[in-house]
Formats: sequence, structure tokens, C-alpha cells
Amino acid sequence: MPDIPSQGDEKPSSRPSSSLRGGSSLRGRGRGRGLSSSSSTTGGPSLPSERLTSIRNRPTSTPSAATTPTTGGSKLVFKPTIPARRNKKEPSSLLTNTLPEAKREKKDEKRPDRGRGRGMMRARERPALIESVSGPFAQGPALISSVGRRGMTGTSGPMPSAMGGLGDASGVKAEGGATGDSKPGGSEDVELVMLTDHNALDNNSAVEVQTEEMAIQAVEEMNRLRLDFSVAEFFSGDCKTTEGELAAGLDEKMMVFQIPQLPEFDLAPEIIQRRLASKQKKLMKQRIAAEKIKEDIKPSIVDIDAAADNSAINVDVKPDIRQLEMMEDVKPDLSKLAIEDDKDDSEPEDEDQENDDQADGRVGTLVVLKSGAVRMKIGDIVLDVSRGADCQFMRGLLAIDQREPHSAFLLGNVDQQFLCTPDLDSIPDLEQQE
Amino acid sequence: MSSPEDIKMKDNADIPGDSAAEYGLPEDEIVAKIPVYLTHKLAKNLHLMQYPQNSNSVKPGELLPGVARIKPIHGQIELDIPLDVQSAMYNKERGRELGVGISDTGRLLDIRTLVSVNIPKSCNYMAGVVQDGELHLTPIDKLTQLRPSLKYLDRVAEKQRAASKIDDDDEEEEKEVKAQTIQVTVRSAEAEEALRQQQNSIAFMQKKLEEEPWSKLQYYDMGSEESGSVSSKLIASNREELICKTSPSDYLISVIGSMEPDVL
Repeated sequence: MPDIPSQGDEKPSSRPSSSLRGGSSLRGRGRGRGLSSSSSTTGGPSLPSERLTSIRNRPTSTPSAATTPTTGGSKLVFKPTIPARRNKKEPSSLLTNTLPEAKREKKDEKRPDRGRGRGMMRARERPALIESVSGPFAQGPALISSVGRRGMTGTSGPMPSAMGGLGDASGVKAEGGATGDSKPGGSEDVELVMLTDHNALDNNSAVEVQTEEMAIQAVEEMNRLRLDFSVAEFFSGDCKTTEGELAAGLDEKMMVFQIPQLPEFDLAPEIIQRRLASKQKKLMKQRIAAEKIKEDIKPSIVDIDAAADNSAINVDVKPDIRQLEMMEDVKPDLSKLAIEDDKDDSEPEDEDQENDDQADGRVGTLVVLKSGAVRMKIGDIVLDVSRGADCQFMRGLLAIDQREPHSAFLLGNVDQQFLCTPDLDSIPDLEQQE
Repeated sequence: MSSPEDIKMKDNADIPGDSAAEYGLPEDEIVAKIPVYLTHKLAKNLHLMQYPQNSNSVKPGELLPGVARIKPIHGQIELDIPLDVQSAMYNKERGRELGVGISDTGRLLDIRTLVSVNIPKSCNYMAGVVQDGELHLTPIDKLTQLRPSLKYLDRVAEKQRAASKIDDDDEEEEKEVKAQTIQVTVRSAEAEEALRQQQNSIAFMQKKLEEEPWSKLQYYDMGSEESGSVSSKLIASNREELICKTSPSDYLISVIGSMEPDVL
């Protein structure tokens, strides 16, 4: 509908001078009254100021007089109507201006004393309110308006030009009108706010607050519940049992985990110690071999091996408890040992030596909790595991060897994607950070 | 809190004294515990392939290419997926027309070609498999999308053009014009020259990519022996515990530092 936007454009532009023109032209289109009047009212800023004087001279001479604030012209009290009210929601007011036009004219006839502005305001307001409520911004404008309007009474806000224009025209009168006379106007303002929901103002805001909070809570809870159980079920099958059984078929599934950063790892000190020990063993062997040539060496070597093994056993890795203990104890030496042992090792058992530069080993635990939460702990970092975005297209894991001979191995279909997010609550000194 | 459940857990997964509180949820109970292992054996080779044209109800194993090619230096691969020319849905006439783009022998268009495109990663991705109640993670090196390659259409168009004897001169003139335009821009401002160099470098890279010849790529499907042996490398061989050097607060700092400010 080309009419609407053009009219909208016309309104602000036509304010200063061509209100009448605009009004008449609009009228010609058939929207006429509503638009013309609206334009005139919206065209408030400079128009009313100019118009006021002329209006006094010829009250209600032109049909667009309906637009002018004072019909009878007797009380040329400043009508704060236009700028103040409209500021709250310009789009809706512009739109709604169409509706009340019909009403306004009637009202103008009925109540010439009140002045166009107010009467129009009222007429305009209510339909405006109705429109805003029905639209998608039903909740929004109410909040904005409730904040804005209180501050708006008597002040210009979004339409400073309008206020300014009026102020210039009637100066003190305008302000006086705004504050004093606009008490009814002010109340109208308040009405505006409340009328958005057709409820009392207090009820309005209270209900809104409640609704928002409740909505947020509800969404959060839903998210928590919905996601967690699907992830939990993926791993453990049945959250209700606490037997530690994992879901059947989990072995065949390929998962992709999204993690923001991969922490750095070091080899466990036990491994390093073990390697160091084996290195020592080697050295001792060599030394013994160099010193003695007899076969007696063998038992002594064995002894030495036993001794070395004994020392190694102290650092042995098998029980996890020991690991923990050793971890704490040996941590400071880690860097030294790591550097020393990384380079050389000929012990066959240290195949993992190949991956020395890269971590290869146990890094943490994934737990499924009764509430449905799934957490992964890597080192001291606790991560919350949730479902990743559902992918509508096919995904696969391909291992590609770019060296000769070039080969690509399809390792499987990606069944599920998980998102790991760090749990901020478990970071102990987070609050102490800057 | 959850110690009785802990005892029921597998021993190798159990760290004594582990409770839900250690995972940030003190009021909760642990239902299942899975040890997590990390390995890098395939870290440099893993690609997460996306097939945007196929829905996720299809498994990539069902998309077996007849021929596969790779550009070893750039890591780009091409897969030729066979089409069923005998199908009742196959339009042989059109197939013949488009087959010209593949070869001049009158061959029907019986393949669709997918070419790989790298996608920037937004975070670290890790492939996870479970074996014997253990979760093994391997970092994924690249995200790749397989998109259809329509080069055969280009070739068909070229042949049509040659057949209808469109002037080659026109094409050359166009190119010359373009060349001239470029030169003009370069001379106009140093900033523009720098920009142009940048663009040229991208074009340069593109050109390099196109110049690299395709090599044969051996493709092993999901159920094959070779793939099986490679997928066994997804499992960590080392069972020892690694120590995390990064403290939680350091980890947070690294996460924040790695984020790109793309939202103002």
C-alpha cells in the first residue's frame, strides 16, 4: 500500500508548513481524515505554533482545523498532546492516528473547550494502545512507555522538535500547559501506559516482571532438563540406575566433542621416573659391562635391575591412588625430568615414548550424574557436556594420509556431537581474579 | 555422597574419594563414570567430513566413490560418486549431453564429483570412541566440506562455445581490458596496491592450487580391514595418567584469548 509510507513521509515533512496541504491531499486519497488529522497533529512541532495564531483568527474554518489543536480558539492553551504522547511510540502512533481521526472529529465538535490536542490525544491514545497491544510488540512498548512516559510528562523526549516548536510558540504557556494543564494530560499519559494492556499501571508492570522472570526460569529449566537427559542417556542408557553400566552399543558410536581449548598435558611423573630409572639401568649396565667382563656380571646386573625395579616400583603407576600421590609429590621435578627423558629411550616397553611430544594417556573422567548432568573433568578443569547442534546432513570421520601412498580411510559416521563448556562455578579463584 | 556407587564402578575407572562434588554438583550422585583418554596418533590426519548434500540418514559408507583424487600439497580431495545410469529416473538424453563434459566418447554422465573445501574451525574438535568403557579422544585436524564440482558444466559450455564458433578474440579482448583495469588501480594509490597484492595473493594461491596435479587417492571404506586398523589408532595405547598443566583459571584465560571478537 503505497499510501501509508508516503503519508508517513509526508507527515514529518509537512509539519512545518504544508500541513493543510498535506491534510487536504491526504483527504483526497480517501484516508483523508485520519491521515490529515494525524499529519497535522504529528506535524505538531512548528505547525501548531504557526497555526495557533492563525487558528485564533479563524477557528475551525478549514476541515483540517480538526487537526489544529484548538477548535473554538477560545482556550489556546498549550496542548501538549502531540509531542509528549506521541514520543512514546512513534510508529504505532503514526499508524494509529488513522483510526482515531473519525472519532476525533466528533469529539472535537463535542468538546471544543478541551482542545484538540487532549481530545485528540485521548481518542488517539486509546486506539493506539489497542494497536500496540495486538501487535508483536504488545509487551515491549508497555515497558518502554512506562519508563519513558513518566519521564516524559511535560518534557520532549523523542520529539524535541515538537516540544521545542510548541515551546517557542507559547513559551511559558507551553511548559505550564505541559506541566499544569497536562495534569489531565499527564494522567492521560499514565493512561496511555496502562491502557496498553488495558490494565492498571501497577498490575501491568508487576505482571510483566513476573512473566519475564518466570519465562526465563522456565526456559532455563527446560534447557537443563531436556539436554541433559539426552546426553546422559547416550552414555549411561538409563539414568535411574546407579550401577555404572554404560549404554549398549556405545562402543560402536563415533562422537565428536567440541571443546574450546585443549589444555596442555605432561607425561605423568611416574612414566618419567620410570624412564629415568630405565635410563639409569642402562647406564649402570654399561658401566658394569665396561668394568667387568666375567659372567658374574649378570647376577650383579640382575641385582641392579632388581634394585632399579624396586625403585621403579615405588613410582609404579598401577594403582591410581599412587598416581595421585606421585603427581602431587613429583610435580616440581616434572619439567626437568621431561626434558631429560624425552630424547632417548631404547626400552621396548616405552612405546609411548614415540608420542612423548604429544599427550597419550588418561586425561580425565566423564561422569553421568543422577540429575542428568554430564560432566567431564580434565585435570582440574570441570567441563559441562551438553548436546551439540543437531546436524541435518551427513558427517563422517576420514583419516587422510597425505604422504605416499595417498590413502583415505573412512573411520565412521558421526553419531552425536557434544559441546564441552567450562564450568565456571568450579573454578576456585575466579572471583579473586581481576 | 556417592561412595557406595563408586565401589560398584569399574576399578580402573575409580579414583577413591571421587564424588559428584568434584564435578561441581555437590548435591548430585554419580551414575556412571567413564575414564577419558587422549591420543594424538591420528591427530594430523583426522578430517571431519561434512556432506551437505546428503541428509544424515545416509551413512558416509553408503557413499562409496569409484575414483578418488588428492592434491597432496594442498590436501584437497575429490571423490567421484557413481550414478546409477540404469535407474528409471536417469535421463539418458541429458546424461549424454552432460557427459560431453567428462569425455568426448559419448559417455553418459555417470558420476557426480565432490570436491573438498576446508572450513575454519571455531573451536577444538575431538573425535571420541568408546572401547571397553573407556572414552578415547583424538583431536581433529580439519573440518572439510564436500561440495559438488561442476567442472563438467564448464567443459560443456566451452565445447558449445567452440562449436558455435564464438570469437576467441572477444575473450582475449575482455581479458586485456581486465588487465588494463588492474594496472590502473595499482597505480592510483599505494593502499590500493597493497590491497590488490593481497587479493592477488589469494588469486595466486588459488592458481597454485589449480596448478597442482591430482594424484591418485586410495579410498578405504568403513568396513574394510585397512580402515579398521586405522581406527584402532583412535584408541590411546598409554594408560597412564597425564598431568594437566593448565589450571582452571589459566584455561579460562586461554579460552578467552583464543576467541575472536566478531560481535561488537
